[in-house]
Amino acid sequence: MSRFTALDRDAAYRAEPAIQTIFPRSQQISRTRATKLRSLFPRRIAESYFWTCHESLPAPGGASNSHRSRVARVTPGSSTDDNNTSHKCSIGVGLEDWSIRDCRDFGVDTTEATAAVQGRVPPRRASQSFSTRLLAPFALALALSTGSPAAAQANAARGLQVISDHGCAACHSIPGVRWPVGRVGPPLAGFGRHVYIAGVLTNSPEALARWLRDPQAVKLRTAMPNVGLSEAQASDAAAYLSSLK
Amino acid sequence: MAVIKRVILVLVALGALGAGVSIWMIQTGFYDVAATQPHLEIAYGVMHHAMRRSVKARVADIKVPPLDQPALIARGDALYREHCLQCHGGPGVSPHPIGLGMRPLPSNLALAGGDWPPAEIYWVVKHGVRLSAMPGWEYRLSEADMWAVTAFVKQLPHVSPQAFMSAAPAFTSAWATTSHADAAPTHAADARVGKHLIAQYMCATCHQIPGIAGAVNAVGPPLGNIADRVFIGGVLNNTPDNMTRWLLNPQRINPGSGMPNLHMSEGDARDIAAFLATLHGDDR
Repeated sequence: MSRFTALDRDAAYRAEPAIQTIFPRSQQISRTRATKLRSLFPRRIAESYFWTCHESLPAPGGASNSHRSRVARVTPGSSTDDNNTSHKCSIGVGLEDWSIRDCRDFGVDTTEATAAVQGRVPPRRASQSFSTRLLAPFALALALSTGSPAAAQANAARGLQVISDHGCAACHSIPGVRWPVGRVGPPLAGFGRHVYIAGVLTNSPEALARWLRDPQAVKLRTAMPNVGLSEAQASDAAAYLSSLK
Repeated sequence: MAVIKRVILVLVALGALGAGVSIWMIQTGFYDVAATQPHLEIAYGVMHHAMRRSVKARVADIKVPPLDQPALIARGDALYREHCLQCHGGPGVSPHPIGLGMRPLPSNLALAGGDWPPAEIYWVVKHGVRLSAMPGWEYRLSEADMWAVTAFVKQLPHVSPQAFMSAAPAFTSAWATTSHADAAPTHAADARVGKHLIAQYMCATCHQIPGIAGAVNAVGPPLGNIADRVFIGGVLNNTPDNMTRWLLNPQRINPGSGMPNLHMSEGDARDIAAFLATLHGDDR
């Protein structure tokens, strides 16, 4: 265990798959070890994974938000068993076979998730990861270097914030977001030069914003979820992605 | 003086040796000219670069007329379907077998339309590219028609696959399947055969694929880590069977997709799917 405390954060991220093989989910992780591991994995990054994929189910009798599809569902009642891996994350983002207890050990606050599942409180948005704060000036420099007008520069930098906040990197590998590096959807490096969006739309910032706002309206069976972006957020994110050459 | 003489002698000897080796290679047929064999990636890259530089050096005197009139673009559309579609294909439309078998590959023109200046597109339409299969149309089309084609190609990145496919259904359905496409699979899926085959279906013109000559294009998503990815086309789970289904008919799974139905045989699709299953990214 002591060798992990000696690692810096970068190495910890790379070591994450190794940690999963060293501590298989079937074993109990001691509180001490969990605490040490948690110091290596910023809570916000684990949370951004969680909230990208899970949302609250509608409260009984309340308004339905099921039109916002997500990649995974939290089944009501499954949260009572701490070691239950029934809602394991199997979409290849490194959270395979996590149980509720594992989520708690790694610092994901599941009490709100549980309450949301039971319809008591609305879910909280994933907060901005430290890598975004680190990289926002870089994104601004990137936007500046493409020579776009002043309004577009601000959009691209804000777009990177939007992308990180909504956990896009849980499914895509995105330049400017250090971690996670998602493998669910295609990599977005150089997206500004791609000819088509999702294979069906011609690539322009306007079409991209339209796609981001409601993927199902463009391509009904796509696995890409509607994460509830506003028009401004979608435009900003589209501006950032269009700047990736 | 003796040193210079010696240097000259060495150079002459080397030159003679080089000439001798070249003559030997040519006479014995050592160099394989088969279009079914791939180029080395670096050779392909050098040739492509040389072609771009050659074209760029010859367009200075070309005056580009206005290219945004709808009538001009419509004329270019008709000419494109008449003369260009067979080799280059179009958004969502496969080239004819003649194009699939070509080396160097006929490039995807939606990508070229976005990347190339109009003068260079016009130059290539007019003069062709020697030692590739691109013909020069100077003696077959009028100036106005060649500019019409140029205008259409410049517009092509903004034409959605659905619009292109629906505009002339009779023409696209005239694509005749070949006898190879009907052949039953003769062996179990083989990734090495798949790597060879992927160069026979023009995949490189739209995708970045590691290890395939000329596969540096961004029409569709990069395939460098396709084996690790969870979904195919955003719709199917990534399994060998589903990848085969996708390759055999992407339009059935994603109607209106830019990826055309290439009329592959099932054996070829299985082999290519096996090869794609070997493409893992760096982080796994």
